[in-house]
Amino acid sequence: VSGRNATEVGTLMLALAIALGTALAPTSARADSLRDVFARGNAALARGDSEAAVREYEALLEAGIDDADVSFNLASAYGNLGRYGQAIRHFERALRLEPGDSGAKDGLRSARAALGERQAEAHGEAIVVDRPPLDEAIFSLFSADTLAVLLLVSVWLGTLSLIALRWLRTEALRLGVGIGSAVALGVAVFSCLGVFAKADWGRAGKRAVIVREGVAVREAPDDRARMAAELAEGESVRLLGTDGRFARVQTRTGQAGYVPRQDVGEL
Amino acid sequence: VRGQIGDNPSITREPTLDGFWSQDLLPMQRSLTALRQDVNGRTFNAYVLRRFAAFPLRTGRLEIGAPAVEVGAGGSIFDLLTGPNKPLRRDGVKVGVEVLALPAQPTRGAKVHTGTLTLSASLDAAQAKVGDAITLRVTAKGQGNLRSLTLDNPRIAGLDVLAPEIDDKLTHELDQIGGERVFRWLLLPRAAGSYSVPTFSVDVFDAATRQFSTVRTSPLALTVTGAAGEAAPSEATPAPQELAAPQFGPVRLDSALRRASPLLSQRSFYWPSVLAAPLLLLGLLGLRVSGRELAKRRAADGDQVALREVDEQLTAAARASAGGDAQGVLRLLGSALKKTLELRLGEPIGGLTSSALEKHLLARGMDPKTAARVIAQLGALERARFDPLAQGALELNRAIEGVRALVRELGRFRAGPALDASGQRRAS
Repeated sequence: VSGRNATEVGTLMLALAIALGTALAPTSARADSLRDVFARGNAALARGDSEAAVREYEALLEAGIDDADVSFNLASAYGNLGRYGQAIRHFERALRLEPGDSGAKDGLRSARAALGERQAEAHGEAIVVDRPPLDEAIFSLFSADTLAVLLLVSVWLGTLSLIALRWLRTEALRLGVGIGSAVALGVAVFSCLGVFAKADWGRAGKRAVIVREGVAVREAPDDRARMAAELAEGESVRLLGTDGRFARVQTRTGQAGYVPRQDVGEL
Repeated sequence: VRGQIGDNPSITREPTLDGFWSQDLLPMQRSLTALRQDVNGRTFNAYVLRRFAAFPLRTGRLEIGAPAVEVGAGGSIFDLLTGPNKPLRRDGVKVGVEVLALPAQPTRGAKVHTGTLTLSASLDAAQAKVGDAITLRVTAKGQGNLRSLTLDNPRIAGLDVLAPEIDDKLTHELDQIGGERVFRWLLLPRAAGSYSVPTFSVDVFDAATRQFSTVRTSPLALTVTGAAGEAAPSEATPAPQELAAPQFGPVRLDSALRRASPLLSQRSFYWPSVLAAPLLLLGLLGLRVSGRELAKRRAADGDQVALREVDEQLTAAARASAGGDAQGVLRLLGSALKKTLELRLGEPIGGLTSSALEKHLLARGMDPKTAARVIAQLGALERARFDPLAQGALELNRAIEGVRALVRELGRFRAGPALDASGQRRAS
């Protein structure tokens, strides 16, 4: 019986070692390969092979990478290919991750301008949306996580200062702490609004961009369904959900309908 | 600008800097502070409006053009009648600079830098495969006009070298312009083999010692594996100089490759952590309010008990009167009256003389007539204990009614703030 127990313990140890080994080894290998993929994408983009660069960077996104520099390079590659809708989408992603990224801001502006020119040439007119909505513009300098930290810190600072007022006796100190708590609570209100705005609370669906020119918005998820509207490349929509190979979107005017999934890119 | 000025001066004409590269040494946004300065025995306020380092870019006579400033004359209430005073305008003086040519440099045709400089070079990988991208980084650190420092693209047979990405980090501590300039080239090996990255060298002229020195990087080795033609061959790829400049970019070579993670505000701990603060505040406020209510209720309960005791004492006094216990009646009445007073004042009154008690009652806001009646009643009770004539049934019943009426009247009395040891009212 004791020999059998010893064998079982040995088997268990071996299984644990294998499990540990398989759990650790792929992590390191994967980390190396992600960096290799990024380097290959960079090399391809630098030598002007934007198609290859897009493939490499898209592989990184599929592997779960959500990085401002990768999004920037991918947007640049799409921009070089003339796929401005995708370029706008990825520049917007880069800005969501790094709101102060001036390179991404310039890239986004260039992509919108280039798309506007192309649409104007094709249709005689084009609408270029250059200004974000008011709430986005107000909080555009801060990332969602920065605002969340600001809210947490300011709400606690404000609360603790209000509590401290109960024990403070010196008038000057009371005045200082009182002003400080008012400022902290003001910052808390501002950052709370920012957190809500960044998280799109109170709005249906997720932010998305149309990535192909002239996408038909249909009333049902079927190619034969009646066309309700047509969307231009680069147009912002709300992605409400998916139904088979269709995505349900809401346009800026509030009209909802279905577009092919590959024609809309979530930010 | 020197003088007593009522408003911030503004530069209406900037000093011209033709032939110079300049770097501001003062921050763009700042508040003007005056320095006291004596000029020919008169004291002026001096305001520094611009300070910059100017690096001449050619030899010969160069000139820093005269600036012009405008200073508001300061506002006055009389401006409403006379209109605002005209602002003062002042022109500065131009400054001539004789720029000397550098002495003959030791290495003919080499890059030249004036100031101090160190150079270092590194590759992000010493080994690579054909088609991989390797970053060659050269860092120049020192003082002087680092922005004008250029390095030629390295020429290495078998490697494509792309146009460099250049980053500057300039500082101006103690008015010394310096910092670092980083050049990053992307190297794309076309074939396997061992490569040597040549050294970069710069002749550095030290203006203080008027001497040239040469700084250079160490050569770097790069080993490329993989058969030629395995990756994108160079024949298919145009030479970097022939590549069309990308419309978008530049390529970002460094990335932390961050993974997608939920926003902080979407994590489970976040909102409880935020809401805990106002809840804590509300909880403390609630505790405080309920504590006050509890104290009030306790005080009210205490008052009720005391009033009941007073009532019982008066009833007991009436019984004692019927039983002919005159001393007992007087003791109970005195006790009932004092208890009522203590209840109303919220403090003991034992040990106070009649005059002190009267003063105290007046100080606590009792009207003088009632206070006098209280003192008179207490005095009458005290005297009756030693006066057999005052101990008859009729007199005792009258005393009971008198105390009962006084207790009822005291029930309407609300005492003012308590007094401290010095007789001053305590803050409530």
